Amino acid sequence: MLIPKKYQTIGVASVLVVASLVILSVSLNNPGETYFFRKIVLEISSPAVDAINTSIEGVRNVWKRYLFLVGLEEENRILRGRIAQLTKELNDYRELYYEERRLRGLAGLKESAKLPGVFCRVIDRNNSYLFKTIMLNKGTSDGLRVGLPVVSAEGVVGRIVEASWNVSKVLLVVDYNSNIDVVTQESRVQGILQGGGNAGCSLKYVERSEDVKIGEQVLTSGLGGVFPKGLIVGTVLNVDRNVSGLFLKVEVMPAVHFSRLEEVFVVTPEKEKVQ
Amino acid sequence: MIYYLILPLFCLIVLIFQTTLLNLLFLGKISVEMSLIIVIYAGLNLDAVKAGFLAFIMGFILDCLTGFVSGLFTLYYVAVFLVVRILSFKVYAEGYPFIVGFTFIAVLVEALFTALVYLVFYEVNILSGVLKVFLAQALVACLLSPVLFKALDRLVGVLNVREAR
Repeated sequence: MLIPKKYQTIGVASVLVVASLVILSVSLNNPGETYFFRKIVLEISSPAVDAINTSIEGVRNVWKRYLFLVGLEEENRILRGRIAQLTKELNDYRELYYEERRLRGLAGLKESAKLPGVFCRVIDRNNSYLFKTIMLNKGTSDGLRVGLPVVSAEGVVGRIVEASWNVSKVLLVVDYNSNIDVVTQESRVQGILQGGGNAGCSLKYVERSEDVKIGEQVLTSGLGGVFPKGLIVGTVLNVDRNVSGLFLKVEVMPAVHFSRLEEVFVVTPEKEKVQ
Repeated sequence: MIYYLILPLFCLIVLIFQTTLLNLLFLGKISVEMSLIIVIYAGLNLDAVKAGFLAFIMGFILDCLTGFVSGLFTLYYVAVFLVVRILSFKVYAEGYPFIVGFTFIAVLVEALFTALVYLVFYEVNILSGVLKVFLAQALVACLLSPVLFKALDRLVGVLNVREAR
């Protein structure tokens, strides 16, 4: 090593701090860009994450279906085995039925709103306090790119913030960094819906004089150029008028149950590939 | 040389384990930062270049897997490496009280750092909420740190024996 041992720590740390600051600065200045190294990490990690999550789900199912059978008498065991087999078959059919229903719901949305796009499967969820994202099993090779809106049959899910070749990361509407231009359905009050983490969302910049009603739906306004107009985002949960300042404090409950999401629909611009 | 080739893979495996299985162990309520404890271990036990690179790579991959702003964890992990290195010259840093205490503080400072970045760049104040969550995370991480230090001691021991052969 060229640096004397005494100054090695400071030398190494200085180089690495500068490198980190450069990465941070580039990333903050170009928020929509997914860089090569990030793509590589996402591409390498996604099959492993998917495999682990699938295995966990498998183990969970095995635990639920079979483990309580241990210790019973032979006949009972055979009968329960049969029940388990039938239950599994039934469960498989039920899964197919529910999957079909979900896909029909998404297809219905696609048909009714005449939205072109791509169906994707959710392969991972990041539900930590700070980051609310999901990972999809499709990427730029399927026509997805950063900025595209993601919806489900229930409503708006979020938008793509990173797109690799075969995987994409979606920023959910409840993430603190999510801001969507919206309008309330009845009172036609416009505002910015900001994610609030586990607390849901809040509607910002609504003047105190506006008459926002509890229970009315919140829809995308079509402004901002990301989301098409008229998609359901959530429902007004609470309106607090006893706040200081110019604006009301409006709490919004998202329409989508993010923990139950399995398939989503990415809306692509008209000219792009439709699947 | 082989250390630097294996390092990214090691970091990736640790972080995938951390974000999937370890997360599941705590029912998704608390994210235990095993990676931060490894950075502290490296800062105390490896030479400056190896430990520095470990902190950098670990932070960068964590940025790629969890956040969508590159450099946030990278910068913080390098800072943790630097502070732990400087402290190890000034105080007795081999004992468990130091390790437990430092881990606890490092997780809490991470919360403040993240909240500050959110406030400055996104104008969102998440400090009150983030502190509650990170306090629990800090407690779990500091209790886990002695166990992880022992495991890492063994791993490093095995690797050194193989290298010597």
